[in-house]
Amino acid sequence: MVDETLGLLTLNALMYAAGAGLLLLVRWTSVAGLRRWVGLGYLAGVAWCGVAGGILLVCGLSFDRVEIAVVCAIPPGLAGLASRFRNGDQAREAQPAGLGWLAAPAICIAGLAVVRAVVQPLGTGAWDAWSFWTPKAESIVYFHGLSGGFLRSGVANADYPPLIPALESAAFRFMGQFDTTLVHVQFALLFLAFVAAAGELLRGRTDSRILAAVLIVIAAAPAMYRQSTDAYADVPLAVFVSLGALLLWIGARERLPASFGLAGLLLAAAMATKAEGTLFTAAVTLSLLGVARRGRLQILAAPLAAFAVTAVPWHLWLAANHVHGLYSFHPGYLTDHADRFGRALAHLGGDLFNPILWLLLPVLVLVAIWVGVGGERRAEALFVLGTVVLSILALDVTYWGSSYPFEWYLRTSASRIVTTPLLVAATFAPLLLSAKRRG
Amino acid sequence: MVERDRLIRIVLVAALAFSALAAVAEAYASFNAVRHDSGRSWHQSETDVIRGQHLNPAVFMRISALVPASAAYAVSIRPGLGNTVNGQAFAALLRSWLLPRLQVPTHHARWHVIWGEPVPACCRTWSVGRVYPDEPPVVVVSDG
Repeated sequence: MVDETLGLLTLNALMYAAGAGLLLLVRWTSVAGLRRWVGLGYLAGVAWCGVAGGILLVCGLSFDRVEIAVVCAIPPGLAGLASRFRNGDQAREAQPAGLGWLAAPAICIAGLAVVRAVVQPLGTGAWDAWSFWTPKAESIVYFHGLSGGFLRSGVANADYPPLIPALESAAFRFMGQFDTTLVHVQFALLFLAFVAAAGELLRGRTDSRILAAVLIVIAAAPAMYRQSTDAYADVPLAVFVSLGALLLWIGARERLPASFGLAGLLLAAAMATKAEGTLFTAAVTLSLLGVARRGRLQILAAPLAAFAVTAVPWHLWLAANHVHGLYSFHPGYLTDHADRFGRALAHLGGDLFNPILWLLLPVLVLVAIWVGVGGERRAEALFVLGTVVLSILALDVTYWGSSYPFEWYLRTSASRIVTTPLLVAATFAPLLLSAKRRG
Repeated sequence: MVERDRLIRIVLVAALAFSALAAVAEAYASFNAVRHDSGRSWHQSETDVIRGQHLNPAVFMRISALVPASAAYAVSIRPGLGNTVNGQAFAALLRSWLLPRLQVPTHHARWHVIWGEPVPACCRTWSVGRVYPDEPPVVVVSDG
């Protein structure tokens, strides 16, 4: 147990080093300022490692310990080289950052999920984790890379992108064995890092008490907790999309090129996590394009670049290796089963506002949007509303035209799939609630 | 203005109150998890997942002892069993448990795991036990 924990810590330290290097490379902060961006640095490192891992696997490499170490060493190395040519030209400090003690309760609550993930074996409900995420990661280690044979053997969701299996396989390699309990700490760490990173990014841009309160409400939401400890990919997806959206907004509003770069990386990670990542990224991008007054080219460029480096190579690999998922979309169902539209919408709405899953988080989000629309944050409120509406409509159509048994599909996935639109909205809630009234 | 601020305050306080209760419950659950589950090996946890699906872990162990680690194998499950939630769990857990052995189509395999389907008379067979008490036993067949 000690050796495995040390191995996992080493991997996470390497990923943090990669993320810190990225923050320096894009001139998000200076070396002295890194301590104030631990959450964002860690998430950037995980996203970098996961996206790069996916690309290496698609290229036929095995993503072993040496390759992981090299991948993680690239950003700090490039940042070191770049600093020599910048001749002391200081990075523009991206906002009055730092977490602040007010975020401590939320960090502690999210930290409980990490403690639980260390010791608690997977529950029987963690179907996706033991039926395909972890076996896919094990197959990467056994077969020294992606195995077409394994993915064609009937494994569920064989066509899901490779980020989660790549990260889990990296954890197995550093732990030295297939510890299928400890590996799920990675998921809880992402949840914890999200709370920290959201706090770091929003502090100075919102009322700090409102920020602290919203972070607590997010961290204590039972669904976030349960999905993190059950090792579902929905929380990592929601984390990447939410922070990607926030960074995209910051880039457009404050004309920060570094912010667009980091947004592109996190959205790439979202697209490499689950197929829905592309849908949610499209919803974020279209909504922001609709309300942004400037930076439209960069708003479009970041997700397009992300799509080019993740989804395109992955789908080429799937086609070349004759790997297919079981999901198929039947346009004919849109007319033949027209009643599904309303039923799926009602189910998704029910899960989105389910107090057992989210407590009062959705109510808080609704009030935030209402306050934002009537206040100085009208554009941000419309952006959040647009993202949620477009995401829910896209999901609705996905269920509507699905070849899967309709009721079963909704019952087994809708409560998790709404995590991303809700978390995107909740991430912007402190900004909206802090808005002053217009006029 | 006052009404708006009051609404924000009321919603925030109510949301925080519910969250505080949930956080206490989670802290208690985490404490219990540390007390009950720390020191437990991941091997035990894997068999617990199998038991959690109401499946018999001994069946998985016997199959993995029979099929060589470098072999490919095929699985045939009677549709009436394979279409159930527990039948799908059996197929998924078996695929994971038998790694690095690869599951392949029937005509490519020398080893066959058969559950509820007719067993060919030509080959060596081993009954590896019942996944559930009321269902037929799982049989491993080798045509080698």
